[in-house]
Amino acid sequence: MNKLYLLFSVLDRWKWHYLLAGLLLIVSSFVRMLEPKVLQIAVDGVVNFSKSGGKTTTIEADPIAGLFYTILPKIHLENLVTVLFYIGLLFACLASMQALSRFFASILSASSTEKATKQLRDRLFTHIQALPLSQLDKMPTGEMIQRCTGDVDTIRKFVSTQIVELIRLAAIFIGALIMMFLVHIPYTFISIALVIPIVITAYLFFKKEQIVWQKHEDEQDKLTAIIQENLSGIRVVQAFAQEQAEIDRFEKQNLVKRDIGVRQIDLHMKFWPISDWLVNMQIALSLFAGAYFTLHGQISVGEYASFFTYAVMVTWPMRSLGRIVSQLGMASVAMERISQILDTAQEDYGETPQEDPVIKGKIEFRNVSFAYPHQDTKKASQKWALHNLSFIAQAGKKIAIMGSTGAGKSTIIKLLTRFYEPTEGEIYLDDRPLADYHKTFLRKKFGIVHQKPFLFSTSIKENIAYAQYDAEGHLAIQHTDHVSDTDFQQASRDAAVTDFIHKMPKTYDTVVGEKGVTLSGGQKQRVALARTLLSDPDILVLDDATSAVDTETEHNIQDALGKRMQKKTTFIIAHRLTSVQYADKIIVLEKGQKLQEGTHDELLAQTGFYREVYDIQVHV
Amino acid sequence: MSQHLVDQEFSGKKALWPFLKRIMRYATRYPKWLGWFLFWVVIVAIADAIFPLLLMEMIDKEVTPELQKLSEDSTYGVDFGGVFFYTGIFLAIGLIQVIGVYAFIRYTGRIQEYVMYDLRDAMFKRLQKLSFSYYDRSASGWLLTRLTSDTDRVAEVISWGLLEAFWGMSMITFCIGAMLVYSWKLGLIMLISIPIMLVVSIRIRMLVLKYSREARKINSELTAAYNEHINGIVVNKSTAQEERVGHVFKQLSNRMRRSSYKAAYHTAMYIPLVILIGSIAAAFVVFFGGQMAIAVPAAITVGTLVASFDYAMKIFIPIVDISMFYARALGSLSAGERIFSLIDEPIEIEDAKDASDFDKIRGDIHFDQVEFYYTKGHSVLPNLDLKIEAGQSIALVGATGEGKSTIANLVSRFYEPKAGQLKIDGVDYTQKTLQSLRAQMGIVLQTPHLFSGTIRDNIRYGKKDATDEQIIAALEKVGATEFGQRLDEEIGEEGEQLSMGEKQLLSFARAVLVDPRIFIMDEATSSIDTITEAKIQKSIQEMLKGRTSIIIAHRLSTIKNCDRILVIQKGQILEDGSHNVLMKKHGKYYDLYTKQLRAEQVTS
Repeated sequence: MNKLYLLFSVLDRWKWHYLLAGLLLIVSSFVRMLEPKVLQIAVDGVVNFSKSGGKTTTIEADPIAGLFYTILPKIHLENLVTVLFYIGLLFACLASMQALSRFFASILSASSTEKATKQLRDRLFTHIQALPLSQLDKMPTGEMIQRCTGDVDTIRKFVSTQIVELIRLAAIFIGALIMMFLVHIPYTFISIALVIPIVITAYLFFKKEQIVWQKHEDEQDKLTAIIQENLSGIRVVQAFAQEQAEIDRFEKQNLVKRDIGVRQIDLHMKFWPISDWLVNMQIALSLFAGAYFTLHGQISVGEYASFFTYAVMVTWPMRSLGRIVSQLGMASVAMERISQILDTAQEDYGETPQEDPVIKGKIEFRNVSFAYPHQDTKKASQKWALHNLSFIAQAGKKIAIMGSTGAGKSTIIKLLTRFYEPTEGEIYLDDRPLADYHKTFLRKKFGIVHQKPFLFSTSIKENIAYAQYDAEGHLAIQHTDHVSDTDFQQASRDAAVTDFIHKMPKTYDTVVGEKGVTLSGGQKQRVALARTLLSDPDILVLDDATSAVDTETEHNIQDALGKRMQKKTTFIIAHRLTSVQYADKIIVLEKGQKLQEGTHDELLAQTGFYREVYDIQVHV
Repeated sequence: MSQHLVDQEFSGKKALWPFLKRIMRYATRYPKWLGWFLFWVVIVAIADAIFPLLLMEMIDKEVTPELQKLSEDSTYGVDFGGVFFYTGIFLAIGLIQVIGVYAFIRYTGRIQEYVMYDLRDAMFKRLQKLSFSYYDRSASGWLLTRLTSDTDRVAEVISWGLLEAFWGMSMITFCIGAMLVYSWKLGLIMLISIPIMLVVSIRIRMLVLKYSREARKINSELTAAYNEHINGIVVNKSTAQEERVGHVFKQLSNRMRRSSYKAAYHTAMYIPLVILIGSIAAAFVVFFGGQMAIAVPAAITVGTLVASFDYAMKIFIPIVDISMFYARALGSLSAGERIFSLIDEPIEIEDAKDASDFDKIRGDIHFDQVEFYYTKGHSVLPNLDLKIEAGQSIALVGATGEGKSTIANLVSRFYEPKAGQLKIDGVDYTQKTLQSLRAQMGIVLQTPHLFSGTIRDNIRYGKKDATDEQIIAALEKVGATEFGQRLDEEIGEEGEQLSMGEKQLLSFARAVLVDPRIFIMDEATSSIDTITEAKIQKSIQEMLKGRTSIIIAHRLSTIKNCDRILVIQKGQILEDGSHNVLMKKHGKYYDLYTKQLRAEQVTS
């Protein structure tokens, strides 16, 4: 409930549209209110008039009925059929008016809702793109996507149907009430006697529904997680013959989900009859009271008939209140979940500099320590990913970083591109603290190729040219006569993409990923390498970037890179000696600390990790 | 084959009926609930339909005569007995409706939840039995949708959809019936309006369906966009593409906005239009009914006029419900199609009826003229003859796509020979149960897949009752003792907290723990770094001792010590022998080995 203001802030830009839609609905409801009056005129004015032989005239019954009488031709005993025809025509006109105003109200609200939803989706997307990695790590991807899609949809459904509905029902309620007051005041009070208990039950229901719905969502999420895990690990499940255990685990959660579903049903099962019963009681009460007042001559039969219609109109909205309130509950839960994402602070990219400095590429780590923030703070002291690390990479040199898994190699990259900031110590680029550079600028200067690169499910061409879009958002590669096309070819050749591209069904236009062909690990690495090379970075970081490429191709790639990166700083992170031996400097890391530093020959001369690895790798 | 036919049968409007019949069978599993549900639908529809009639009766039989008497004699004491009587009846009907609502929600809701449970259960069980070839061609995201949103949609058809349909039909029947009885002429007006309303309803509903389908399709693109750009956020940030992808997304979300607006536009048109038609019918009722009421002698009473008007104004409600059901059913047709095609998916590898369990396997493996292909006409293994003796370690060497993994997958019975036999301990393994075979196999795949949970849970995945001592012993065997202290550590979704090498070590331990008789390693060391690999080289030898093993490795240094090395080319065995024998032979293996050695050579 407390997050409802967030919902309204999303809709704020379109509030006048909603109000206009509401106004139209009020018109529509008002017209609808007049419809029973027409029946009243037909019954009282014509039928009773004719039966009593023109004696009974209730023509001055009430202002509205009176208004109709002035529109209609004057009633005589002779022209009754004509009058009836006009009454029918009047009725059809009113119905058309009602239909039209309702239609316009709906499309107005629908277009505003769709615009607001679009805006919310866009906001979520751009916000997530600007979140720091440390925040993104905290929420599983699936859950985040669920919030961006499912929860947004829940809100959309509520806004598109229920906000308008709320205005409509309120209008009907107020309108019918006024009409009733005009006819008979005590009767009116009797006709709304039970409104308060109806509203209270609806409110209590709303409170409970919110709790149960939240639980329902949680259990549903757990069930989805189980299915997802099972599907992605199905090969392991079958290899270990654990199908039955998986089925048991699934069925247990499936049952929990069913039970919570039934619990929600039960809640509705109790609420609706109670609310209906109260509504029916109210209708019965009005019916009885109406008959009483009619027989006492306080209202006419026609008035009774129309009054009764109004009474039903007043009580009906009460009945829908439960539904609206229950959807309101769901929407506010959804809004809460969405605002958790939107409330997370975005990454601070730093101030935009006056002019971009020219990067030479000298990197210095000065006593850098780092611990990942999401790990337990108590254990943080032992969980250093990097501990007191210092080294200098001179501009234009090749620096190899070696070490077994978990030694902290990949952490260095994350610090270099400022996905994370060092916990202690400082990093310098060209003797200026890294924090002085704008992040976007910095990241453009670095070219990083990961061991397990991420490719988008677009064509290979679009993947390679991923960062090559002009200001209008067009792929700069599309024009074959474009200069950059030679760059494209060169990058693909250097990364040995050209070696396998002709085997692909549509060469560079082959779509990769779930929608298309699956590339092997080595092919993915090569495409990612081409993507990075095409950006022509000033500093290249290869994070075990060719580990899945066969040795021969790897050799060729290294040659090409050697030429390309001659004057540029290159970091090579690897655990194969073949990959690091020609580096200008080799740094051996273990458990986040520097173990050895030097050239291949220097390190071979020392006893230590490097020599040890050398012996193992040469021997096997 | 049959699968194909079922799929085709379901598409298009003609498929609606078979779909409904099939889904209905799920509801009939709960006959008691279904029975009560139908009973109350009829009762409530009658009660709903009877309301205007009671009003009529009361006006005609009580109010009008009393009023008549009153107007004739102003001192007449009004008799309230009749009014009390009718009020009582109203209350009783109200009570029936209240109970009806209770019953509707109770039984419909239960049918919905239980059918969802049953559908999901059936699909999940089927998924566990489907072979690798099914997973090779189905994306897991699509499968997940079937068990979640598709199931929800289909279950709604059989629960709330059913309610709409039955209530709507009963209501219309009773309303028309009642009106025809009281005044067939006025009834006729309504009878004419109903088909018009139905046609208009279904027309518009179909348009709405078309646009909402379009919107759903874009919605899945939208979800995919979120998915990709959250998973690929590091790439976006590294290449500073955040803003650009934001723009691309905005175009997509704008397409989404347009198509869902179109759906909303037609929806907005729908209800007013149907009410309008109803109102025109009501106008006719006033016109003709009014004439009938003023005719001498009166053809109908005032009460009948009021009741007819009421019916005419209300008749659109059941029409809306019926057309709603129709649209709902059509809209979930493709969801149902997906669900049932999964449930009907033939299981390729299944125990024969008279299959018996393997006792303790010795480990002789015999490929007896085995043929295998994924698509007919493209044999991966044209005719393989291979005998592996118990306890031997076999290495399969060759380029990608030559059939190495296929051989391993055939031994694991993830696939079965298309022709010929695969014998384990001299028995064709299709005569044995799958469970008893797999329970005695240890399989380590290229990409280690771990499950969320603790390290302990993951290691004992294949042997749930393993003690900590056994787990630690297994860790020692694979040279990963450091995990011994970390057994309670949660490893997160798919083991995201661990590095690739750590994950692979755990998957080794997991395989070793079950003490398999046949051990299969398919590129298992390719994701471990060379330093770690060199370190665990000895443990691998340890793991292979005393069991038959089949190893596929890209790096030949890993398999040098195997008893037999088989060079596979185009599904045939090109060379067969130990490392030394093959090296002396100066054949294909020699080529491969020396080439790799040269590339890996470190200058010293």
